[in-house]
Amino acid sequence: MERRKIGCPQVRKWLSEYLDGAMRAEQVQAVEAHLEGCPQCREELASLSEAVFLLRSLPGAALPRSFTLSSEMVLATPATSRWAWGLAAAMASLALAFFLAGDLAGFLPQGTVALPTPSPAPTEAGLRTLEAAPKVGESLEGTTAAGAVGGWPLTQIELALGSLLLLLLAGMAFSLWRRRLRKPA
Amino acid sequence: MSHGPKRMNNEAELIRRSQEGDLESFNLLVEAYQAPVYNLALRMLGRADVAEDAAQEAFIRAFRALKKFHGGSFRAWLFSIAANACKDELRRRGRRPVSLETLEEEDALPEPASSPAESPEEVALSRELHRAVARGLGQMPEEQRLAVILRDIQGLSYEEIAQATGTALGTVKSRLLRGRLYLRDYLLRQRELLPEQYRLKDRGRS
Repeated sequence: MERRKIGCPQVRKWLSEYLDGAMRAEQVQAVEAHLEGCPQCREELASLSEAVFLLRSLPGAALPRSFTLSSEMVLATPATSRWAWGLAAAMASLALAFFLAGDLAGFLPQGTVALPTPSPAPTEAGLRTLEAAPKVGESLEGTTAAGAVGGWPLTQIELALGSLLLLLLAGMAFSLWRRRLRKPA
Repeated sequence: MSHGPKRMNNEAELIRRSQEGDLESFNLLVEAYQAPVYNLALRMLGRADVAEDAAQEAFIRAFRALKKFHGGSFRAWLFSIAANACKDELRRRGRRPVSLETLEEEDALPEPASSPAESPEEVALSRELHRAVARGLGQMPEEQRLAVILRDIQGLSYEEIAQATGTALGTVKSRLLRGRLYLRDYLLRQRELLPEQYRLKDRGRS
C-alpha cells in the first residue's frame, strides 16, 4: 500500500488527535512518517504533549459540600408556575365580583359599546321581541338609543370573566395534580 | 471514576426512578457525580464560591429536565447541563476573564484533596505550576476551555464531548486542538516565571 506523504500544516492539524489515539491506522502511519523527517513538527508534538500532561495532572479540588437536593429546592419553582396562577385567579374574581355587583346594584349603566355604523333596521317581529325583552337580559345588537351608548355590555363582560376564572382554576388544578404525580415516592 | 457493570445497572435503575420523581434515587446520582460536576464548574469559572452556585443549579436543572434524557451517556448529558449553568453564570458576570478573578483572590483555588509525600519546595513549585495552568485555562476562549476540561480533566471520549457540547465531532477536534495550543503558548510566554525544571522545552524556538 502506497503511503501518502503529508506536509507540516496537515500534521499540525492532526497532532491533537494523534495524541489521543483517535486516528485511523493509515493516518497514524502518515503522521509518523512525516515526524521521522521533521524536527519542527516533533518539537510541536512534544510541547503540545507537555501541555496536555500538565492539564491531566492538575489536582482535583476536594468537594466543598454536598450538592444533594432537598424537596424545597425542587418545589421552589419559578414564579410564573405557582403563585401567578393564584394571583391571576384572584384578580379575575375581583373583577367579576365588581361587575356582578355593579350589574345587580345598578351603579354600572347597562348598554352596548358604541357602534360606529348604524345597526340594520330591525324587522317588525324583531322590534316586538326587543320591546318585550326584560331589561336585565340584554341583546347583542344595538338596542334603543336612549342611554345605550357609553354603557357597559355587562352580560358579555360577566361571561368573559367567568370563563376566564374557570380556565384559571382549571389550570391551577391541573398544575397541582401534575405536581402531586411528581412527589417523591 | 470507574463504572463496573454492576454499577451501570444500578445507575439505569436510579435514572428510571428519578424520572418518575423519586428524589432519593436522584440524590444517589448526585453523590456519584457531584465531584466531577463541581470540578468542571471550578475550572470553567475560576472561583470556588461561584462554582458551588453553578454546580447546585446544575443538579436542580437536571432533576427538572430528566424527562428529556433518552439514554446514551448520562455523564455527558449531566455535563451538558452543568456547562450551560456555567455559561449562564459567565454571562451574568459580564464575561470578565476568569483569570482576573483568580488573581484577586489568592485562596480562591482550593488546595488539592491530597498530596503525595513531597518536599515543601516541590509542593510550592508544583502549586505555582498548577496556578499557571489554571490561569491559562481561565484566559482561554470559553468553548475551547470547555472542550479541554471535558477531555483532559474529565476524561470524556470525543463522542461524549460532542454530546455534552451539542456539536459535531469535527468541531470537538478543532476546539481541542486550539485550546491545547492556546495553553501551550500561554505557558511558553510565562516561562520566565516558572522554575527551570517545569519550563516547557523550547529548543529550536526563537
